Amino acid sequence: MFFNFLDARRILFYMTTLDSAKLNKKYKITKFLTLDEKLCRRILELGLTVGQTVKALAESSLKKVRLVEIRGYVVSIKTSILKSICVEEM
Amino acid sequence: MENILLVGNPNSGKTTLFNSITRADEHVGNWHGVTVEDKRKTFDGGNFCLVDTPGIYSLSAFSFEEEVSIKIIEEGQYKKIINICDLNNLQRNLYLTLCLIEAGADVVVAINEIDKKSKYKVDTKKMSQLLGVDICLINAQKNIGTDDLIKKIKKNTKNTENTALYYLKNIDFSNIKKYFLNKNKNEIMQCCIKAFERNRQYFLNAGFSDDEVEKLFTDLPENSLQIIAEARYNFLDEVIKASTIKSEFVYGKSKLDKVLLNKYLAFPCFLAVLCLIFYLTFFSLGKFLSNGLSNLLNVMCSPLLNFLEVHTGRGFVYLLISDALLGGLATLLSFLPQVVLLFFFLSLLEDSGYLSRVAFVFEDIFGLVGLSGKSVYTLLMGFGCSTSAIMTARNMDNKNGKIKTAMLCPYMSCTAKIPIYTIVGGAFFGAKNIFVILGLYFLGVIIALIISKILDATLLKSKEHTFILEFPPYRATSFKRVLKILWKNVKSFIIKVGSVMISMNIIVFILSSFNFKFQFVEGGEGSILQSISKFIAPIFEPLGFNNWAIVSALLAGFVAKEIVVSSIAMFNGIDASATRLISESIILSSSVVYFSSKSSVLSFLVFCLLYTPCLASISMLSQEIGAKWTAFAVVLQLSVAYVVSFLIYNISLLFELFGGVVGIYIAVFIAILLAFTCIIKKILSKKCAFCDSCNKKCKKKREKN
Repeated sequence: MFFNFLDARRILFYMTTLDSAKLNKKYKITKFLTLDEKLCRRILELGLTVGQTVKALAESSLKKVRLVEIRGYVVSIKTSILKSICVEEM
Repeated sequence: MENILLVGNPNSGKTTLFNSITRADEHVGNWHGVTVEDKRKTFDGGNFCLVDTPGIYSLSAFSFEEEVSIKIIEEGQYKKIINICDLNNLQRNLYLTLCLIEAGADVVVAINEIDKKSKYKVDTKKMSQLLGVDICLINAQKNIGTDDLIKKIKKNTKNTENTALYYLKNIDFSNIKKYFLNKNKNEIMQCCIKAFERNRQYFLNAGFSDDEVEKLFTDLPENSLQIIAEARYNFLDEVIKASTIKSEFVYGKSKLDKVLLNKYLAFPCFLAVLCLIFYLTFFSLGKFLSNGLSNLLNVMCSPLLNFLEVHTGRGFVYLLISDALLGGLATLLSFLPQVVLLFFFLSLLEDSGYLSRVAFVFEDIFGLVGLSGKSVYTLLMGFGCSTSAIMTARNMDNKNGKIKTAMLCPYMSCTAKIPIYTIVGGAFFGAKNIFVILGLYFLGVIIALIISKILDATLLKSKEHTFILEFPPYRATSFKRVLKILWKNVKSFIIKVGSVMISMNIIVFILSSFNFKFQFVEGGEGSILQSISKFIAPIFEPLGFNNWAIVSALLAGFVAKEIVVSSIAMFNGIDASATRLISESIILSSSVVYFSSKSSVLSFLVFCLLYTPCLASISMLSQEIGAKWTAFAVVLQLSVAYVVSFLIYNISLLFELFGGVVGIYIAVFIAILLAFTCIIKKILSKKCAFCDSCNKKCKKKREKN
């Protein structure tokens, strides 16, 4: 319903998502997978749009949250949300 | 009088500007979600009313406090909106500005230069031209540029309508325009934008039926949200490029985070900070200041009581003043330094920017018990005052999370309980009381987490919550702010002691001085309070304390926890004229009567920690989570307090009787219980190879065999 109906698993097969991106490496957002409408809106409001450069800075001890640098500021986001953001290394 | 709305992203300095313009003293902090309700105050000689609102990122709500702001904006009862933007994170802040312009609001942008050496330079004229709104540069903290801002607010000329909306021209709205044919040009544009944002509520409020909204949304491109957000950000890229000079700087990023967010060091660092705060509050600095104030109060009270004794004798008036007023209240006032210190340290934590990092670190653990990392803020504030902390649970983004967080707040040991721990604990445990106090604080947290887990598994199941939290930069608190925090807390404590405590102490004194025939009884024997308390006292026998005075103190503690100590002091017949006014020996001297053993003292302290903190917190709970959940929370608090105190009393009693051997038995018992739980869990979670719904006796398995 949101963005696209592509099969997440198929895309994940050959694409990196932000939850598994290497720390302190620059990535470019390429695509969004299925996300809850409300959540999707908030992610976009925060500036995580396609083509934008992102960098994962740190992750929590149980790897449930990651610290992400975007548009000149840092925001912590749950990895379950980051799983829906496809990225490619720059 | 016309309303001026103060709107902006979280932590952009809205309340600081509000305080600056209206000379108010509202709570501020370096954290997202300090303001959770609207605040109003007049300025400019009563011509305008400034409305401070909780922070938002756009005109679509994500959490409960954001709904408050959006509702106020949508009501449209205002002359202008001041949109405050943080200079160091300008692009993201201006996203909201575009949303406001699109909604047709008359906006004045106030770019707040929070830090002294800002990394950005902004050409306000150029930016104003591009956005089509008035812009001014301010420093809310130092009150710089606010005069210019007020001038712009007073201006009656409205911004050119939708000046900046040309960035939306590349978006194809043709598919959905047919739904808004009865509206004018500007309204059609607004509706199209709201449709692309998939703002269902907007259309329902505008009179569309569910089916019509559904039909409208099916005519939208699948990625409509993305299209509109990208159009705004692409435009903002151009605006920022054309009107600002910026250096390579990442807002909220700090080298300190390498240590404070380190997988192995994060928890020890946080624990060290907490222990340091508690140590400074209760023992080194706090105790020194408390003793000093206690001695001062002794010196001040003694001549007055001597004078009274000489002139009135030891009658009712003398007892009322010495016991109900001076005795109890002086005892409480002597704790002023400790209470203020704890509030002060919590405020420093709040201002530092460390709390966002703590939320990040705790998201993992809290997630296991069904809470969000953001609950850390509410629970930490609970160490200060439960009532104000409960309100901050509005930060949660789902209803169950909000109810759970608010319900757990009272288990945190608030400052009102400090006198109980210090006086009662100090009398029995002496130097070891530091461990008792620390233990009580941690027990409260552990009990809260256990309750959260149980609630999450039963009544308040939360679907996977979302954790999105912006990191603010680390900031040091200014000296002026230190003085402000100290003064604010001293003032509120003295007002509380002077109002609620005085009236409650007098009520308790009267109830304990007269019998049902309203005859004066000395020493409380046969008094109304004694009769009621004696009736209830047997309930507390299994907890190790059934003394009527203690039970009375607990009953009085329902109103406010500070009264527990003043009541105990009152019933004990404090000789306020002597130097023993606020001495631990007062309680110790009668300890034989009040508490039979150290176990019963522990049990009493645990009961005080866990039972309902005060009437104000119940009222706040009711306001935030409704009467039904509040009633449940109160019953739960009383039950938990009773059960845990009972366990603590009996375990401690076993230790007293049999020594360390009991510890080994308990450890073995817990180990067996854990092993048993693990085995049961493993058996239950073992999935059948043939179906998803069974275990060993599977029909499909049998059929195959």
